[in-house]
Amino acid sequence: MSFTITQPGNGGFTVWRIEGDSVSFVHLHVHTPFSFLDGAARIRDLAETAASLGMPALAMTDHDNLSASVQFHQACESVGIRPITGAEVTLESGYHITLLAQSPRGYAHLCRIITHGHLSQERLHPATTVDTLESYHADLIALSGCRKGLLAAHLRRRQWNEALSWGRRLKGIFGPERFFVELQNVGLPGGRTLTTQLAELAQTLGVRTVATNDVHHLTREDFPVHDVLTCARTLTRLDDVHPERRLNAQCFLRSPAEMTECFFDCPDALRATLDIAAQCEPALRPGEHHLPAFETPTGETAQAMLRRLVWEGARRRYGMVTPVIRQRLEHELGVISQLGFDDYFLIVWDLLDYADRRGIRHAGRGSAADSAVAYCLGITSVDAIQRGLLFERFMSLERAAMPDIDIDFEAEKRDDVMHYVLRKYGQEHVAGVATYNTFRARSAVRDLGKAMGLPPEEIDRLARHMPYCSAEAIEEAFDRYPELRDSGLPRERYEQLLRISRVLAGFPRHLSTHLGGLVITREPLLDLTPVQMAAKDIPVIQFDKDDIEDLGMVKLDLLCLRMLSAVETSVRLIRQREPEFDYDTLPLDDVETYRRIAASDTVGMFQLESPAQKALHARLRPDRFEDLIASVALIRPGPISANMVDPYIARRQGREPVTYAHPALERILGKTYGVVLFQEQVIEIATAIGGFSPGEADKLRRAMTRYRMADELVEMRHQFIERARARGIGEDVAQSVYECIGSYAGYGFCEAHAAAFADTAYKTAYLLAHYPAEFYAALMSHQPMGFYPPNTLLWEAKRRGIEVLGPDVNRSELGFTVEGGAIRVSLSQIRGMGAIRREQILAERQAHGPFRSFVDFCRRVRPDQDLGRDLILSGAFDSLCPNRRRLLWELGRVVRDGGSERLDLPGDSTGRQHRVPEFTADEKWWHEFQVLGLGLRRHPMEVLRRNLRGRGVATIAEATQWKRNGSVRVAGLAVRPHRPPTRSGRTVAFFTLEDETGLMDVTVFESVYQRYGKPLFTRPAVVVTGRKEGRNGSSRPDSMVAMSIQELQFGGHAPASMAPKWSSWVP
Amino acid sequence: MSKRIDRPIQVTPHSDGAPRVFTWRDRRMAVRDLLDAWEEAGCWWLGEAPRWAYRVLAGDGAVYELHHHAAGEWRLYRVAD
Repeated sequence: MSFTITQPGNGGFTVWRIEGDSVSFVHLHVHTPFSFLDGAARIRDLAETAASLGMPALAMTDHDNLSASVQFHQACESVGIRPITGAEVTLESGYHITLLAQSPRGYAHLCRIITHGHLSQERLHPATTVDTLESYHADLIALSGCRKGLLAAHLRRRQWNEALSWGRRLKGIFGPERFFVELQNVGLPGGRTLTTQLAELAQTLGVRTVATNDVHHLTREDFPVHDVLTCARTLTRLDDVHPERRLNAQCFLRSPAEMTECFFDCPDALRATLDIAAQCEPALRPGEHHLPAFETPTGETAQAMLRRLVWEGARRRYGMVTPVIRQRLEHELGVISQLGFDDYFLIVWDLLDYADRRGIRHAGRGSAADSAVAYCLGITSVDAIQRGLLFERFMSLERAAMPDIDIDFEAEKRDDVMHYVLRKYGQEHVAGVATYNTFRARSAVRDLGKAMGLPPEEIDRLARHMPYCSAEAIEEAFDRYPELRDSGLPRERYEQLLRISRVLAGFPRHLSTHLGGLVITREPLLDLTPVQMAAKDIPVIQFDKDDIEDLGMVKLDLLCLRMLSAVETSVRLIRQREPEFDYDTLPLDDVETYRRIAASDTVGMFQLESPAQKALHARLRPDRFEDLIASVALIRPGPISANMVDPYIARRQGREPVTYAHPALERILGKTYGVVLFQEQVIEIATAIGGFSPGEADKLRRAMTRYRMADELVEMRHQFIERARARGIGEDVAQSVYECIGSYAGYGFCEAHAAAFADTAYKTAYLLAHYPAEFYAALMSHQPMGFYPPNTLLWEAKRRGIEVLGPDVNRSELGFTVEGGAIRVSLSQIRGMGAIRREQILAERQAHGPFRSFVDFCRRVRPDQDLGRDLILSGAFDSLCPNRRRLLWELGRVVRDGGSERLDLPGDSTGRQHRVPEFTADEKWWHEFQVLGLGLRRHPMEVLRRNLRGRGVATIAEATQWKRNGSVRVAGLAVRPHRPPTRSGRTVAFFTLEDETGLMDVTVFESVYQRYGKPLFTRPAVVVTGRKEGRNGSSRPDSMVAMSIQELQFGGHAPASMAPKWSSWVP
Repeated sequence: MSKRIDRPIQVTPHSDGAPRVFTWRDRRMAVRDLLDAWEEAGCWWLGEAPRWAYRVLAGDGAVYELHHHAAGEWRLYRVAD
């Protein structure tokens, strides 16, 4: 295949010419996986195949979106072919039209057309108007569409005149040079006639035809994948008939020779593909930056305003601005200004100013805490200068990459800030960032299983047992995990599903909204991206966080952190008894706080509560803030895989000398005892040893984390060693230092982020140490969050001697509250209690006083039968009438009669009412457990304890007292079983066993897991026999290594109704 | 009126695979016109191979639908007179 490129071409465009008899062709109608369940060919495969078939260009035309365009551009450019950005746009009539952008201007118009389609219609059903096409036709080429195009539809209905009329309309809009009649020869009934008629119509209209193949999969053999995706999209099974399903496998990426064969009688339709491709220049311009603009209120420049605010902040933060501080701030301000980010910082400052004015708690996180400017502006609370943090980790002139400022807000109020930003900069300049939900093992099993007609209960069982892994790894999961292997599901039955799942691994399934990402642009957003509405009713762009960086847009992460909500609630509760309490000025050296952390008594503390953290604390025994920063940073894949945890602990405790591979490292690694713990240290080491500039060093750090930069990394390694040698450092030392940072680099925290998290971690630890009732009440009010479920938190509180009071219609609030040192369960905790109902109860109570009786409540609130029942069973009326069964008797009539005062219970002929016996204690407990999800009166294990005693099963409190390395047998709820990746690649499971006396962390090594692991992930409670020995040789008394695990069977001491229901409950 | 037949028949195809002559009820019939042709994937999940379908106008004036299966077998699927 040969083609020549001559420049300058027609109107500045490249011109491709077919030489001699050689054949060439460009596919102009191609669906990628971003057609969401209607495209089965990977973008990279499409580009590589097109290039290998000698095509000079390739188009992408997904349904009503451009999400693939960044990846598509990169893939095409990497194989040396021209990317053509387009879309198959749906019109209001439901018919399709194929549009291709000829230039960035055409791309901007396409963005507007697609956006109009999304914003003018019901969500997920985009459809644009012909008027919109008329408004934004410039620099767009229109193809008449596939069989779903209106032209084809008219002709198939024998409506020649209507077809002619529609063709004239499109020709009128786009002009004869930019409107083409699309011909497809994909082996469908009526196809021959349709093609002939379309060609005749084109001739009548005086426009050209163009050949396309409506590509939905790469090869013929990939058709089943597309067919299954179509079934998943249309919610049908393979056995069903559906008009959306393709009749055959012909919509693949045909070679130019095959296309020539298909259109041997329409050579101009083939030539038109090359002519069109030649007229379409790449629509995206990588390397351009699209930074936001901030309008200063005083008319001063953004740069001047930023400087003013920073110096004001510096005086506030430091009191006196020393030359060192001045120099650092000048350096940062210089870089910020040179890169053009003054406005960006002002935007962040402004939205935090808004949050402060509204009393919304926030905390900066991430690498922004490496910036002293961010500290002075109040964006972060970490003093980058005092901590010696490296600004270049955040921003550098060499890298010139987009800085990313992440800010946590208390969860309930984050949207308030987001809407402020939307209001202030307008929807033309602000939108949420998208994220693509991809096929993972569970979603693949559910979607494909349904399409393949597997029984729903089998699909459910398989999906529930499937670990969180890639769809590619399903087969491996069957071999590896006993809960799947031993589940009795016939694997051979799933072979087809497994085969297709492997292909679909990583395919985007649908577009959703990034948790907190916002983009703000100076120019109209629609020049850069289409916008659609997210489920939360905010506009969202069609690109994810990686794409927007490549597009040159800057992102701002406004994240919800429930822990900040819990902190705010704690502070509010504490101030009820200590009005002067100030969370922001808590002392950072509180002995009792560190004592509890060192004792691994950390359930509920931010970032410090996981079993891995607890095991670390037992060994590290932190007693200062720096230890907490290290704790947060140590339990990360980087330090763990680089085997840095043990040396750090030994050196911190003085059991091992602190050594350095080179004297220059002492300055960098001194504060972490010679161990590489933070990303900033990687940069500094590359600078000090490898002679890299800070920007180069950060590029090295990034290359170490990115698979796609593997080639660059090889070159950088070479540079590192060579430059180190040139600086007089021995090659062996240089190599050993490089290997050390290489094994760590990608998977650690930056120090700034660790310090920011450690600040919240310490303060929550302080709250737990000194205000446990308020803190636990707050934690339970903001579930789900943290590592442990609410019932575990409740029992942690009870074990600390805090009384927990049941819900009460006259005392409970929206959230958990504290009454005289006891925690009161909230109204929100009651099953089925919607937001409107609980607000109504509180409003009624406030307006007309406490409820005087059950009937009074029903008359004023008018609950439905279900809510009334759940309130009764939760004990919420106990203070008004302690006989819950009697209230249940009354409920039906009260609800029916609208709360009439006359309530006659069933009686005998003399009119005397029957006495209604109350529920037993077991029944009451079980009802509460069902309605509240909390074992208020007794722990679930307490119910079973008598039966366990006879089997030699100890309580966790008893087992904790036993000597180390002794054998123990304990039973409990299996809380948060998980299998993190390990250095060795072997499966190790961890979980926390919980009973009425405490918690015990359990490690399950591979051999035991393979033999006994099945109930761990499938049953709520287990009996564990094991050795008292913590992970990594921890001396914690409350940890063990499992030797066997059995499902906990139920004896006769549980309520009769409990066992079957219990089995379906998973904590 | 059309009638579903779905029985094997003998067909002599053109070089492009379309039927030229076929024999039905001992009568040899020439294809006067190829009215339509399409491909069907079949029930791939049950192991079925794809097949080509041809709707032809035969010498007797009737319209026949002939299916050519991947294994080489031809079947007369339907007749419309």
